[in-house]
Amino acid sequence: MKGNLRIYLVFILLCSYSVQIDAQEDPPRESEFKEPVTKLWINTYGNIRIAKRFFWVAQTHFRFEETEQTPFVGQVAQIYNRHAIGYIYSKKFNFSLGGVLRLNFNTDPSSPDRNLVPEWRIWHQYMFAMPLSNMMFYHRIRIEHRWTQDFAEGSNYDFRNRWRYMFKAKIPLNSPTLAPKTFYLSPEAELIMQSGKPVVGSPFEDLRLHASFGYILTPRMTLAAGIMYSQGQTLSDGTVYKQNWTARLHLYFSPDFRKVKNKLPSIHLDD
Amino acid sequence: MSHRNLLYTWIVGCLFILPFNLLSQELYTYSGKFELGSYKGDANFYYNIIENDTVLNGVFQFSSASLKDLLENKDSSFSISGNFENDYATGPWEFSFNLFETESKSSVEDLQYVVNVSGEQRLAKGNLIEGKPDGAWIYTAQEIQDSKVDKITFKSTIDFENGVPQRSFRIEDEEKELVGRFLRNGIAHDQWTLYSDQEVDDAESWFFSEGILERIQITSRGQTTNIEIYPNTNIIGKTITLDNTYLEILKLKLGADNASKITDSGILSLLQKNDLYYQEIDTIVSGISKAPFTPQFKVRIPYFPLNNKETKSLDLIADYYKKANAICVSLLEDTQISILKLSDEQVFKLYEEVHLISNQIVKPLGQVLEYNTKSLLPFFSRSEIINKVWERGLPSLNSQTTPIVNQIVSSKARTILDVEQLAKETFTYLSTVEEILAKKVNRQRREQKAIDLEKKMISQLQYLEVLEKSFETDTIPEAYINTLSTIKDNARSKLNRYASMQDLEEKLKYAEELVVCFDALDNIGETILKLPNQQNEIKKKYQDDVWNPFTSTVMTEMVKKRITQAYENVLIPYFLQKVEQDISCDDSIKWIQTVHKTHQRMHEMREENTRKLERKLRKEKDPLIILERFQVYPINKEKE
Repeated sequence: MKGNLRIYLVFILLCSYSVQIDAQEDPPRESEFKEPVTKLWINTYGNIRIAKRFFWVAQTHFRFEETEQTPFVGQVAQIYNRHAIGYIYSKKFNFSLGGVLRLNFNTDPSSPDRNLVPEWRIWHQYMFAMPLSNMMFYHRIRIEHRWTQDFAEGSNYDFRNRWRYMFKAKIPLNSPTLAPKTFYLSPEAELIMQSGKPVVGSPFEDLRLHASFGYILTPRMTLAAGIMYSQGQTLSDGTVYKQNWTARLHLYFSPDFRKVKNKLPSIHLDD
Repeated sequence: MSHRNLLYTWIVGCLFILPFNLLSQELYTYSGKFELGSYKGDANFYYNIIENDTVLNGVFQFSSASLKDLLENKDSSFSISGNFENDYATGPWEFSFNLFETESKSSVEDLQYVVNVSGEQRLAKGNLIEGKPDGAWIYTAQEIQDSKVDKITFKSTIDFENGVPQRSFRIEDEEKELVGRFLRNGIAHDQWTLYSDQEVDDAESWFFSEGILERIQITSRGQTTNIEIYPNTNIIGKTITLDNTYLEILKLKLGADNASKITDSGILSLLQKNDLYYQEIDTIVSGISKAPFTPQFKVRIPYFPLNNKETKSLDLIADYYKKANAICVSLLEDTQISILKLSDEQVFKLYEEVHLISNQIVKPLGQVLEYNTKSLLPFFSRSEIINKVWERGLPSLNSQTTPIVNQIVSSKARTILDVEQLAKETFTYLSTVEEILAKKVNRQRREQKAIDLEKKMISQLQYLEVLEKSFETDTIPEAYINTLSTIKDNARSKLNRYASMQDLEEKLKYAEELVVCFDALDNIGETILKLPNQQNEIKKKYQDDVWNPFTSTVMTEMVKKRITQAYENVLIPYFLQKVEQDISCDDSIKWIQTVHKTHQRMHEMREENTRKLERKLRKEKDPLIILERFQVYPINKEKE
């Protein structure tokens, strides 16, 4: 009998506690989704072979954003400079480590704050490639350590970590394999999570769903264009979700400046 | 004793001793290995050395026997023993030649191993004076069984006096027995008769009259045949030895029919056998003795010695015969002529003539020459020998009639000079026939050659068609098939031109050219057939594997594109176009070489540093300039 009484008391206490919390603040019943913003990203990806197993990653992205008058390309939003040194472990795995300087433009026309602030990152990524039939599948884990600051004058840098996982496929359309003069389709999904002191209730930074259509000009040059839908929690309020429609243009180039005699034997790596 | 007496005594003494000094030359003994002609064995003999010459004197023994050979297989042994006086075989001699084998059965008797032998033995025994047989000589051939005489297979007993056979002799074998006699000078005389041991009445008799064989009488199964040989016994003739030559003369004398009778005759075979055995001893005795050991059976025979003219004539006949016979053999054995005579009447006629001449003139000429070689001619009159060779008389050649060889039975005495004339005419005529037939055959050969060439050309053309068909089945661009088709049409038109030609010589010449040309065209076809594969090969050769980091795959990439494009887009079409423009046969070879060289250079340039070249190739469309840039020159240009 005594035992039953004790369980009963605990139950009452728990119930009364939850009633107490509810009574403190009225939490939002549902998430709020902002109107989608249209954007245009022009991305160049350079993979410059510098040794048998090392390459230099040099990416520059130009990101535009709509204004009230102009969709997609109304104003410059960010300019990316992403660099790293990559290591080709095998045909199916490579990893890179480097830094990013992102220039963030203030896209709020009413803001009295600074127009341009830098953002610094250290990043490393692990890329796994999986051939399947005539297609290629890729898993990319990218971890970024970023220091950001607000546009307000004298803002301090906030430190956050980003945890990114991307799953991508490349499907050749007019050729049995991904070879020069091949059109391909590339569906892609990336989940970006974040953590850090400023992250309160908004760890889900972005989910990007992207489909692109590409053309391999040569083994060293590929062009692609696609459309991407993305959504994620705003940092300041986890219940508010931003949405974007981004038109993306990609230029992939991979020059190899090594001398011919060094280049030839290293192609197949471990084969 | 006075001093004078002492001197006389000394002189007389010296004179008395002198002959003893001369006679008492030192006698040496030889005992050891000795070789005499084909006989090898051990010898024991005595000899003196006189003026550095070996002079045999005393007992001579020479023998050979091998126990090892006897036990293992057969032993061919011999034993010769006799005596020498001043290097002349003198005194009793014995010869023994054996071929023995044993059954390897042996016994020991009086501390000696005794082995019985079986086989054949030939024994000769008699007396020699100064190397010549003297007294009775007995030659026996016998079969030995278990060391005992089983049977005597041959025995001859002949009496000699100073090497000359005397009185009667007897030669017998297992079946027959020959008895005859000689005059004191060794000349055959009277009746030589052969009796058969089996048939009582059968006999063969040779009747000699002082060496001249008058007739031969053969009695067989109660029938007697007489063959006249030299019925005229008054001829002077020549005395010769009764040897093989005499027997050959007899055979020739008797003619083909009767010769067979005496060829089978026992007298002849017994005399030949006896001659053979005596020659064997002669070989040995004349090897060690100064005088020859030959049985002097003598006969007389008519003799017509050859004069100088005849000897020269015979030399010329030999020369004509050699050439004429060579022509006959080459013409009669020529397969082309044999075939041609079936369709060409003239060739048939000439062939038959040559055949006739060969049999009726050339072969008999050879026979005359053979008799000359055997030294038989001097024992026959010329007419006789000519009539023996040409039974129907000496033929003559008449090129105006058919048959060309006229067999003339002529009573006119013929001479060797007549034979020479015939030989000369025959050779001249055969040379003419040879010339005519050679022309005929050459034409035939040319025609045959043309046929062969035509067959070859047709097969070459067919090969082009096969190539074209093999192309059609593949997924090969039409341009190649068109080009191949053009080559084929080109070849066909050349063949049409050939077919319309009339002159055989010209046709043959053109056919020879065409065969070479078609070979070149076939080669072009083969080269074109290879081109698509070669292009693929080059394409692969000029690909680089490149790692694409964005797809994580290896991609192939064409390198040195200006070179490959110049090859593919300019040179290959140029090559095909050249072939289509009715390429000449000479150019065919150049074309093939250019294509091969280009292909080779394409392989080489892949590895070379070609930056400059690639710059120069920019927008270049002229195939000749491109070939030059590729360092491909037509062969004739290289030579320049």
